[in-house]
Amino acid sequence: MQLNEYQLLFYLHALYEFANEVSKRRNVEDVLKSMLSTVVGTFAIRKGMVLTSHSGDSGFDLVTHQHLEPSAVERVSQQLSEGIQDNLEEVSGLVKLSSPVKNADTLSTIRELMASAGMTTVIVLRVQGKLNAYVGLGEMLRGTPFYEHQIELLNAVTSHTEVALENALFCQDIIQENQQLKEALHKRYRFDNIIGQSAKMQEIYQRIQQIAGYANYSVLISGESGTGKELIARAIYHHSPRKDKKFIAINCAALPQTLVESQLFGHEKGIFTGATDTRKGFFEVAEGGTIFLDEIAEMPTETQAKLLRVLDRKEFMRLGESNVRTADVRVIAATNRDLKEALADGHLRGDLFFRFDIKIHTPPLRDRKEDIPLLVDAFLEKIAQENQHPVQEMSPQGLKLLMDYHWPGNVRELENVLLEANMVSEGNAIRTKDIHLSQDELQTAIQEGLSLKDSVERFKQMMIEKALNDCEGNRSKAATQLGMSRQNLQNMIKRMNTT
Amino acid sequence: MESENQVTLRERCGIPIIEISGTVSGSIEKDLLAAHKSACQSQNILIKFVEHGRIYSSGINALIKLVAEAEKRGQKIHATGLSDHFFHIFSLTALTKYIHVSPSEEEALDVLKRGCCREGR
Repeated sequence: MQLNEYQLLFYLHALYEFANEVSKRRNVEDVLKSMLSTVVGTFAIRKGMVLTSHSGDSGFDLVTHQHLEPSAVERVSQQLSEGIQDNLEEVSGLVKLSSPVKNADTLSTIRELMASAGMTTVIVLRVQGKLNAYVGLGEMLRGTPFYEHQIELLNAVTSHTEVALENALFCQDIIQENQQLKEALHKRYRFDNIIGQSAKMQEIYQRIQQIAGYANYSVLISGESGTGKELIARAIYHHSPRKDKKFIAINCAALPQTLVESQLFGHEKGIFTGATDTRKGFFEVAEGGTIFLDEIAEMPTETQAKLLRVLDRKEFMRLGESNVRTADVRVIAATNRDLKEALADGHLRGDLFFRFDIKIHTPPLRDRKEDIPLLVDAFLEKIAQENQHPVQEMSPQGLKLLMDYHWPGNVRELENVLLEANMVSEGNAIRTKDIHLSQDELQTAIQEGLSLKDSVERFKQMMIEKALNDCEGNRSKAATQLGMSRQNLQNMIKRMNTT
Repeated sequence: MESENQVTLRERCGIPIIEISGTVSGSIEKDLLAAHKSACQSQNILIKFVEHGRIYSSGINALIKLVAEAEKRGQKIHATGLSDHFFHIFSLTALTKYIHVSPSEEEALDVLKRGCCREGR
């Protein structure tokens, strides 16, 4: 058959369109859909279908079809579900289903299956060691076999499809690998809701994993406010055998001192004014689970002694009761006080401190600044999710500002700063003008451009004021805290007129 | 690929006419099949091509689907308004075996009316 210029152009255009279309496809199914659609349209074929078998998988999938009756689709799917093994290794290219084939069980089965759906020809596409695809084609409207030039065009489409399939499989491998790497990174730099890639945080993750399994070990977590002590307590709980039982978090500083004991251990009816009923304490409620005592150094020392008994002997008594009860509870406590100071000034009993099996210290954010970019990304993503808007990006200048700041409020402060910045920012990125950091005296001094001498003076003044506050005005104690003599402190106070 | 095209349905002398304006590509499929569905009670359907653009393999694919749907319902498809370009592609793909081509709308309607009368007798 001789082609005229319109027809030749139609074929060339079909090939061009196919090449253009298929080059954009990144998965096997889309490549095969595109190929079948092109072949069916270009040669005016009544119907077509594509089966694939992936190496390593058993059986075939019906990936796509064109103009196939629903009953035929159902029949083919039913036959495929019965399980056909693909052992075809040598055949490729165009195979007329009416011609005899040397192989093999597979092609005979495919022939039978395709013929039952009205196919007369099959094109076998192979991506070595990964995928076989069988493109079944029904009769052309013309009703004749393919002409020579049509076969040439089909071969060109077939070769191109094989390359596109290879690329798509390669692309899928890369996407999968990328996903696995992301998951690995995620696991490495996150532990539950704790985020950080720094060596200090890696140590903490390791420590949590080591101790979580020891369900009876008590833990004392120390660290400044906002460093994530409760997150660590919760991570220990989630990875422990007690994870299916209760987790009760109590802020000891928030409990009225007179009620702490009854809240923790419970009380009998009438033991004090207002005790109208017998009541279980948190240790009973948390039975089998985990109790988290935040700000434990604010707990009265008498109550700390009773807590020591729980840790030591697993025993406690309700207020007003003479029966000794047993507590099967893991205790995790936390304090934002400096442990040495807390022990020295009596806020934390030494015997209780030493009774905790495990101690963990959470580093302040200023000591792990390399985690800031990771934390910023995580918080911005969280904020976007909670507010259902696109994730805001942090500008490089904004990130530099955050990296340079000393973060007295630690990770909690960072989260709050980002919440505000996200709210006031315009556009897709957070800029320095959107970031409002709290200005302490020292920072103000720097920003005001004070001389070194004046800045040092202001710093000394701050230190003395803090020591006097900490020591409730006791100058001897304040002098000890500052590492100077009382007389020296007196002189400085006089000079600065801070009294 | 050019995508400027439009499919409309009208009726003349009781014959539904699906008018395809512009490029014949895969993007006409949805409208073409919807128009056919609206005209499925009629024994004959006339497709009229106007303001020709190109004709693509995906457009042929859509026409094959229409032919298959019409065959299922025992309908006859007629076409008119084919440019030389379109006519050669119809010949190449053998669509002319399934779609009766007339040189003009008037002649197509004449053929259809005569056919109807004959069938009516």
